[in-house]
Amino acid sequence: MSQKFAVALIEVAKSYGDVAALAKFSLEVQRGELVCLLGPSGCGKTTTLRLIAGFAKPSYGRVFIEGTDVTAKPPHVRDIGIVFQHHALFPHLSVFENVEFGLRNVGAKKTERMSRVTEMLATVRLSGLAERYPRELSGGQQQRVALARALVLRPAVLLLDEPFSSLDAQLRIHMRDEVRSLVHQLKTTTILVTHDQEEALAISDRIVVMNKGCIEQVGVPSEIYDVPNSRFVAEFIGRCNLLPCNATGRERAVIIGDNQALSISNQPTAQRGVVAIRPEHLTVADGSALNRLRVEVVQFIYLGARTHLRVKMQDQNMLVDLPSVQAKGLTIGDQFDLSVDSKFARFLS
Amino acid sequence: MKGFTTRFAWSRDLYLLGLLTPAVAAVTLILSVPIVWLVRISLYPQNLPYGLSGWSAAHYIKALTDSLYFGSLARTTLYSVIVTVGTAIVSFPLGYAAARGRLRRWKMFFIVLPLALSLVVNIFGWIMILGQNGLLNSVLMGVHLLDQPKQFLFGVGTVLLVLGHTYVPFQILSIMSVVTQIDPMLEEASASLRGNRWTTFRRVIIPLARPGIAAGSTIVFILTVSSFIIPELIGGASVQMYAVLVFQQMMTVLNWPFGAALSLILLAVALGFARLFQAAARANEELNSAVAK
Amino acid sequence: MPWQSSKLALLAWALFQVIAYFVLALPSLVIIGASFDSSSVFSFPPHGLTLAWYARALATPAFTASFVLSVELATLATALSLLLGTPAAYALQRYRLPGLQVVQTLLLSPIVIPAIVLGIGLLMFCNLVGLGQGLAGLLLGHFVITLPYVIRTLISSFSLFDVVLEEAAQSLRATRFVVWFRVIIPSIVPGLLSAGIFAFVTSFGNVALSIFLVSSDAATLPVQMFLSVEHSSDPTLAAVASVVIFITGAVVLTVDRLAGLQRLV
Repeated sequence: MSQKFAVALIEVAKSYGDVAALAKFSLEVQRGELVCLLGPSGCGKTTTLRLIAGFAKPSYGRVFIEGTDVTAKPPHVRDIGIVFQHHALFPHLSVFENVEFGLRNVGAKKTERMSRVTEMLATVRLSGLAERYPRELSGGQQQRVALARALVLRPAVLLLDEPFSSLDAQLRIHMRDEVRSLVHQLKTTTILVTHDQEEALAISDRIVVMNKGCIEQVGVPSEIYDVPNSRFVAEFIGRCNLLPCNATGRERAVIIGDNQALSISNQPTAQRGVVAIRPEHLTVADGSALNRLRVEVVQFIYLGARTHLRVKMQDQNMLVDLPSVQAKGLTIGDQFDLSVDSKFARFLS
Repeated sequence: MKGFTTRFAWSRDLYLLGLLTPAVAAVTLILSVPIVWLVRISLYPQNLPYGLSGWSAAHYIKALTDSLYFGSLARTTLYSVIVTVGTAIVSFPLGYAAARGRLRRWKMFFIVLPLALSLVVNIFGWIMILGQNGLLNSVLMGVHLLDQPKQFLFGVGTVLLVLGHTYVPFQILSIMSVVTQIDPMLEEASASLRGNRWTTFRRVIIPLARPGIAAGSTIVFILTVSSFIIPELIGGASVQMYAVLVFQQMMTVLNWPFGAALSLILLAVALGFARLFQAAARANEELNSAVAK
Repeated sequence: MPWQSSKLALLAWALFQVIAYFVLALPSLVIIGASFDSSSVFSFPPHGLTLAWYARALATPAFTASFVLSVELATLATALSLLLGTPAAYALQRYRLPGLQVVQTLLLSPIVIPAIVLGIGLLMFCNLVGLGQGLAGLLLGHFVITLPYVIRTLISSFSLFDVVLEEAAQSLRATRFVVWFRVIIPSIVPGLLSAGIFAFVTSFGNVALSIFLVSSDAATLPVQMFLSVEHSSDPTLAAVASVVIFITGAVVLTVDRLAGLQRLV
């Protein structure tokens, strides 16, 4: 197995009895990458993480970490570090002892343990709290101890299982940025499981979108957002209008509803499907614009810099996200034209 | 709604009192009066159950200096420590497996049944196993390891075995109770930090399970140090556990004052050890209050 | 942690448990086996099966009379414990006042007091107040040792019963009396039943305390058995013991059905 991948899952699948948690797939993670496994609950992202960690064995396929086949190996011999959802700090050990735990297990000498733990605590900015106990720390501090504990072993891959879901919204944003810069600084390969698509978009090098045990799409964040290749991905990431349409036979053109023609960015792959248009890609049409859609305003939601409009086109409901200056003057019941650049309209089957 | 709140508030204390008084009064009466009376009786100089008058500490002096009684107390305490430690060691893996493993309902049944069962039934069963016509002898003779039936009853080993068997469920349940509260993720965390099975047990499970071990050990110690039914039936003359001597003084010799003194000394020993175990457990209580699932 | 152990280790683990649970059950199994064995000397496999010993047991007045007494006593003690223990457990669980911890310790203390001390104390107490040995003294003793089980079980029951329901009832004009009988009691029926059943079986099987308090015409079944064991090893006793095992087993199963034995832990 080539060693240029930090983690490789080759044709893995996992079933529990009759229930298939993961359909067969392969995945490779490059060294130093931060990959997010993103999807709704039950999609198999946590199962995948646990396969890499060794808490579950694949029903089929093999798992490689840094070129070594670890499929049959128990977790404690794998070169991993894990941060659990509820941090799982040892309540009977101090912060220092928690971070030191793994080093003692691998037989590091006292002086080495001392220096590495102190260094790690400084890196996560918890130096003064070494003698405290987990129950005395705040949620964010506890999470940082959990990180330090896993990273001090310099694992080949760091696994995070929805690590921020138990933190409040503001802290969550702060912590995800911290983790991003930390693993970037240490050049640690990282795999993070989350259901929060904003989080995934914000920090990943690559995103693996999963649904019902299958991988829907793998790509860099901008790719996933701008070029979703399935309905699920289009709807799960950000907001998206999905307009039922028919192919016209002409290249890269479809008909919406009875007569609304639209030119799009890709060739339709079937007679019927949907056109995916993100709300922010719709603009108020000026005189010369092509790709016009006549709509009527149903709801007007002013949000300061942006305004969201719910509009109706024939019998289709759509969401439009406009800069407030463009939406000025519009009220409920008004009819006007929207236009969209064809490169932002995508056919999905 | 205002009247409702006020009414609730001022009558709350009376309500509370009303709820608790019957039980508290009954228990206080039933416990304290006998114990107070017991203390008084132990301070009578006579050696009889009637015609008692006067004050004397002679019985206590005898109890603590006569080698028969003091020696028995010391030996009984030793036996109890052995049984307590033995049951703790055996119970730990069993309690852990029952808390974490499958078939918990079945396991609970097998653990709780001997607990709920009357002592005499348990002892009778062991007599049938270890007696001269019993199971063990039949098996050993059947495989020709023995020519003649051997008397397995009536020895220290047997008594300790039966005591252990009778009281081990307390330890198992106690450990089970505390292990269920230990977040399984802590074990996964330990594994992710290069800890193998034994390391995880030693550095994570056992420290966190200490209150359970202490609680179970307290109960087993008290029950063992004060047990007399078991040694009476299968101990024989060589074992001489303390409570048996107390029983004899009370029911056979009818030397009530002396028996009272002996039993109060036993009470002191039992409660003293209970406090010791509680203190050890309390040190760990604070840690466990932070174990969140 | 099955993902960590080798197959061999798992097998050894399972074997250890099987042996342990077998040993736990062994005395009961032996007794039941002997109660059906037609020969009075132990033999395995049994020479013949018979119900003669059960018949003998039923015909022995000492056993039948003491059985009846044990059932009566257990019923009374349980009823008393439930009556006094339920409100006490409620008070202890619902209110968080400083003195209550002491009260709880007091009410649960009979478990910690050695049976022999309590037995002797009660014996002399009954003697002092002229009660003598017999049902009255037994009842006092059995009440005080069943109460802790009742209180412990009910404290756990109450902790699972949301106080919000009581508050809702009160907001709907229910007096305390009504709240008790139409909201609280119906909600804790499984807890009451399992508490009562455990109290019953504790009282029914008790020997260490009872032995001090029985009289020649009022002996409980376990005490009667104790005296029989001391003086003979008649298989009739095995039949009697088996009956106790069956009753206890049925009781434990019922508690499991009602509230789950897990709740005791």
